[in-house]
Amino acid sequence: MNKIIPSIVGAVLAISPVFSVLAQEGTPPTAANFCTRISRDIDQRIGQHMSEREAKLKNRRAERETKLEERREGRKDRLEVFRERRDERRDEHYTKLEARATTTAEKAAVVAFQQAIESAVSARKAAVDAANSAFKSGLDAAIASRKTAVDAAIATLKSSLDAAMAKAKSDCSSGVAPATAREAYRAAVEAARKKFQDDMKAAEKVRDTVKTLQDTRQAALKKTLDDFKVAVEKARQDLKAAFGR
Amino acid sequence: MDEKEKFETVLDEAIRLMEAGEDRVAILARFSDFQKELSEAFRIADRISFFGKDIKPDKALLEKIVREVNTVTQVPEKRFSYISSDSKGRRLLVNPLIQIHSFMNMQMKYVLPIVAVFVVAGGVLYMNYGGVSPQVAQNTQVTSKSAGTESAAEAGDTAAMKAAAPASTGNPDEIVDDIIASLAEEETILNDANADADFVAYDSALVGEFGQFSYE
Repeated sequence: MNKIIPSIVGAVLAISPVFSVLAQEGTPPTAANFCTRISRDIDQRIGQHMSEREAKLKNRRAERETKLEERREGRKDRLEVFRERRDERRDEHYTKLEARATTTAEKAAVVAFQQAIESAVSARKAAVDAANSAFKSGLDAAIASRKTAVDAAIATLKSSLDAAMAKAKSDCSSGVAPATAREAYRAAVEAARKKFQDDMKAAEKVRDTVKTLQDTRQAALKKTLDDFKVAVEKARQDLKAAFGR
Repeated sequence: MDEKEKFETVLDEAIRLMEAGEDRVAILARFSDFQKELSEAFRIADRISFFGKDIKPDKALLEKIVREVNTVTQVPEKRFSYISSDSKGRRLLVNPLIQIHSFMNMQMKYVLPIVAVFVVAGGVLYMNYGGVSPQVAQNTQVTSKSAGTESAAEAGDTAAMKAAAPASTGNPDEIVDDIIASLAEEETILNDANADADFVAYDSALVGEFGQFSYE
């Protein structure tokens, strides 16, 4: 028993190259069966693959829309709450400032300070909202643009595959050798696949557009922040000067 | 579908195509996004196929392993052998059971009571100082108030932030500093929008699957 198994294994290993040679000779089984399989197997399988992906893609896009909207709404709510809280806080500060102002000059300085701060806050709110709005609409446009490009790429792929399939069926029914029909079909499918990949690469360039949108928004927000700080610092200096500090 | 699952799908498809007789170069070209991984998989398959014909453990390697395993004693009589002469194939199971039994008898009589004491003490501490305790909740509120606006901003809890803000003193410097400090919280909210950009390619992996099919 101890010697039987190694003997069998050795024999199989010894004759395995023969199997390979035999397998390589003649027409491969896949090529020989191509014309019998093309309608009931290959066509059906590819069709199912496409329709499944299309259904998933539809769901994924709906999911994206929902999630993106949730994020935007959540952020909008947080920003509103923040602004309301800060508005109340500034009112509290102004009240305390007014209480400290005893002279006419000090009272006037407090009014000026309040106006300067509120003006800066309003300008900042408007600039932030504008930057957010531009980013939002730009992003929506980029998403829509990519969707159009992707849908077009998928449509082209499907149409090319359908044409390749029709040609293969025609070849098979008109007596073309299965191996030849299969090779023509394979070449057409590979070309369609390559075209799809190229189309997708082009569609992915929308990321550059989005990056530009991000950079533009960041630059706008930074400028808004800097402008706000300058205005607030000036208001501080003016107020302190009026209070003699 | 994440990258791993995607690669598994691609690998399955690649193996199927390879078995169907498709050229490896063609397979690699077909799955251009996973060429590197597939090449590696093919390489490993070739190695296994080549070396698998005559698998013998390297003697030097075995000696090295034995040398480096600390538990192996130099005294042959004391070595645990999985295939000792009197073994009937049950020693693998019996020996660990004996060891566990011995450990329970010798060690656990000390270890178990100590562990039990720690568990009970931990439970008591948790019940007294955990988040559910009103006393601790009160303490936390006091702490957050003393920490000022910064800790509340980090937590993102606007209600806590409002409660934690110290009363205004009317000091111009403190007022302006407070206004400027609040910008950090606003920036945190605004920066969150940057992640929205990722949604542009939210369907990217799925779209890539359209081109991954077999026609064999």
